[in-house]
Amino acid sequence: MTSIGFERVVKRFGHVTAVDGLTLDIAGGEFMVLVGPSGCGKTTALRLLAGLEAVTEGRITIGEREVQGLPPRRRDVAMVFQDYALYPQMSVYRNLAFGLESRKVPRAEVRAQVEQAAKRLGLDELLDRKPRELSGGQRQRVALGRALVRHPQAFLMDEPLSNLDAKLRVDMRAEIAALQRETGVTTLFVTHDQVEAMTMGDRIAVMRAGVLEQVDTPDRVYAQPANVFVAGFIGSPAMAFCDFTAQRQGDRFSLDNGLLRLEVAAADLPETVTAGLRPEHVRPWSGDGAMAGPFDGVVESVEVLGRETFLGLRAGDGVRLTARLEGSARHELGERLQFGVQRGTAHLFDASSGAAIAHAV
Amino acid sequence: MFALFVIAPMADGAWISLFRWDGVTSGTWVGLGNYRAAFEDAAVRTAFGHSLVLILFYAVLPVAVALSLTGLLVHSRVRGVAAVRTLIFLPQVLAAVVVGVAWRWLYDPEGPINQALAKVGLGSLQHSWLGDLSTALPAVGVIGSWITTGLCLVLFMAGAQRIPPARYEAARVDGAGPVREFFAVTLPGLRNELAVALSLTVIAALRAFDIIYVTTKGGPGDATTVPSLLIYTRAFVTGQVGSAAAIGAIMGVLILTLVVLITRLIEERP
Amino acid sequence: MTAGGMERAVTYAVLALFSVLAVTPILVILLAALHPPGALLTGVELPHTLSLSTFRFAWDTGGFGRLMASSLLVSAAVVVLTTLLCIPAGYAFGTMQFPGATPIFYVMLAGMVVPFESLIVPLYYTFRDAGLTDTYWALILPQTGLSISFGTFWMRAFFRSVPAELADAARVDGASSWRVLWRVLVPIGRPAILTMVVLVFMWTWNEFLLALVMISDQTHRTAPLGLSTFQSRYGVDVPSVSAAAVLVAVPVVIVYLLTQRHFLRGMLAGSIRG
Repeated sequence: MTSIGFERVVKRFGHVTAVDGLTLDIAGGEFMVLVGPSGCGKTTALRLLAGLEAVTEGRITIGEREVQGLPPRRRDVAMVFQDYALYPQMSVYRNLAFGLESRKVPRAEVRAQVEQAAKRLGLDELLDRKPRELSGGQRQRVALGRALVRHPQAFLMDEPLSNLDAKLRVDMRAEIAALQRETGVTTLFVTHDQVEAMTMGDRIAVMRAGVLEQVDTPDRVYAQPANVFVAGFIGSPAMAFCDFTAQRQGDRFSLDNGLLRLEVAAADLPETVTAGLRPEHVRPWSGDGAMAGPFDGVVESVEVLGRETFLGLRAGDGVRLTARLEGSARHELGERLQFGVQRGTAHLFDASSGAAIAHAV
Repeated sequence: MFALFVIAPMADGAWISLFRWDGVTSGTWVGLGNYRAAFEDAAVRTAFGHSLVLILFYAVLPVAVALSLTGLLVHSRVRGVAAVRTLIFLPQVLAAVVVGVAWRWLYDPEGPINQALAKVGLGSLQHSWLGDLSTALPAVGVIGSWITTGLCLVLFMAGAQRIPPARYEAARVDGAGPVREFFAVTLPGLRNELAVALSLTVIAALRAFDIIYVTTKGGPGDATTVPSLLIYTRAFVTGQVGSAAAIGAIMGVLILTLVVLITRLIEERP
Repeated sequence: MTAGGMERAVTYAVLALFSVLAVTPILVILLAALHPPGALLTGVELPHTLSLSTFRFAWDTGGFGRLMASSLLVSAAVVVLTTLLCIPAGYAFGTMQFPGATPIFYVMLAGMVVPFESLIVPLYYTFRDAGLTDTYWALILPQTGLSISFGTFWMRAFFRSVPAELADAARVDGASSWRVLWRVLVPIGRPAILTMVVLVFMWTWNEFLLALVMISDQTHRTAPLGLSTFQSRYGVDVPSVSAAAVLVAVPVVIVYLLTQRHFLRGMLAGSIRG
């Protein structure tokens, strides 16, 4: 199983720096998801690894080999594209065989490999069809098959699920994850969808503006985001942030901004901090001792999803929070509401740098 | 392998450089004298004047007719016009020599046009169309209109089909009448087609060699002489090679300028 | 609803009128050609007997067998050369970045609009000095030169329209640039290539000035040049000249009718060269 390494990789297009000093190690057999908002450089990073773009600075390794000077065909990686990029004039069979034939694999061997991959993906009935005669899901499978059949050192996937409808996307998520576990091929999967990232990756790497913000397992990225950006990007609805003045009170700190007051346990805090509160930790006031509150708020939005309901709350100027309720709760827009915050759940960040100071306090 | 990619542009560059070489050699013969002479030469001026008239017939008239028809018909999205399109476009496909031969017969004193005039009682208008000083140039111009109108019409109608219907609906909701609708929706929607049509037809008008060579050879007198014909006769008949080359250069620059101008003026993205 | 019907009727009427206008001169010539050779015509006349003898007469006396063969040879050569050169050139311009790409491309664009009329003088003297006048090369090379401008422009537009992912996929799949071009892109580009082929064929077949200047001997004449000569010799014989004109037009018209979708697309897509 092949490991992959980016070492201080920089990519500039003219004056624009798309990837800025990316250092990332992917272990052999690992499923790494690269996630970030559009334009953050994640696709560029993938294309650098594939050899479709040339690095400006830095080193990329696949296994023991340094590859940044090699053309794509000498890197032995396979890639699945957002729009699948199937060759429209070729049958499914030829699409699957193209990569092997490019590598001068003997004909009989090609046939065996293609048939095996087709069978695994349930494409055996479709081998004679042209791509335009296939449904979106089938095309997606052919694109996967084209990668699978090659037995490459690594799978590179560039938002492969973004063109599928919602239901199919959920199915293919599971399928791709299963395929990857079966084959054990090191995988770098690029997406802007944090749900995909959370559900599929062994680890996820969060990028913003060309810079890697955090790399860790999904639950750790969620529970211990490295900074305000990661905290806000991972999780839906997003974490709410508000600034507080911190005052030491014995071994604890009291956070106050005139509207909310929280008490947190922390060794040391700067004078002003940003606190992040996830929706599941904000609820209508029930008098429960595990909650801090009550605070006054106005309902600004109601999102009823059936199993749960999200309320957008405003507690005075600039302080907005999201609360999560079980079931479909009935609330009116503009309704005044008392709410509380579960103790010991706040994330604290430096108000100026955004870096995390403490979690679950 | 990369060499192959360069050969093709190089081959083209060679032809272009021939064109520059021409400037250099005529320079070694008489300096810029050829150009000065060309600008002062009454025959050359007349020829370019004729080109101007031909532009009217080849470009302005067909484009205007085709545009107004398109504006008129823009809402009827007729099906099955493929056959019509094939026919309307046909003149564009024929060799200019063939077209010239055909129209020479049409314009013949004994030809179908005079015959038709006699039939409808307009015998007094019968004419040697290409032989008469006053009608020869317009007659040639009409041939040009015949060639290019179909092209313009097909171009604009195809373009109009691509204008999203929602834009017309929006104009109608905003209370635009047919005329405002034409200027607010149809015309802007046809910008690119308009640029293409004007470029093609203006070039055709400025060249116009084949047709004139076959129908009138520039006559009677110099009534239908155009620059391209002057180039030919001077270079290969009367032996004024330098002068011919200069006219050729002027014509090339003129066409380039006009096309760039048209494209810049009309197209959204230069 | 009736207003729509009215409008539709007007549309059809206008289109019909223009079709008639477009076709009449052609029909008139066809009709004239059906008269026996040497017949004196007055306007549009129906022939007494239907015979194709005039075509035979024009074919034989005008030597159109030989003329057509010349034209065919020249056209085929230009088409093949243009295709072979323009596919890689368009690929390079459309998908790669190399130094000087933009200026070279603008020079090529200029080549698309500058007509033979402007270039003919230097062209002629170059070829005369090289001893190439009165050869097929004198027709093939300049025509290829000008066709390359259009062809490269056209193929570049095609290669740009192909999703970049497709070429990327092939490269990751292990294909060289050459294999990407011929195995993946060219098969997709068949319609675009066919359009280029028919347009270049038409332009070459119809080209007159170049042949007029470059060719003075009998053996290398092309069909339009032959038609012009035939006309100046048999000018008063309207049926025969008409028949000759029809003969010259037929190959292009056949190609046009067979591939008209491509013709129209090529002309409409903004080909600047007329």
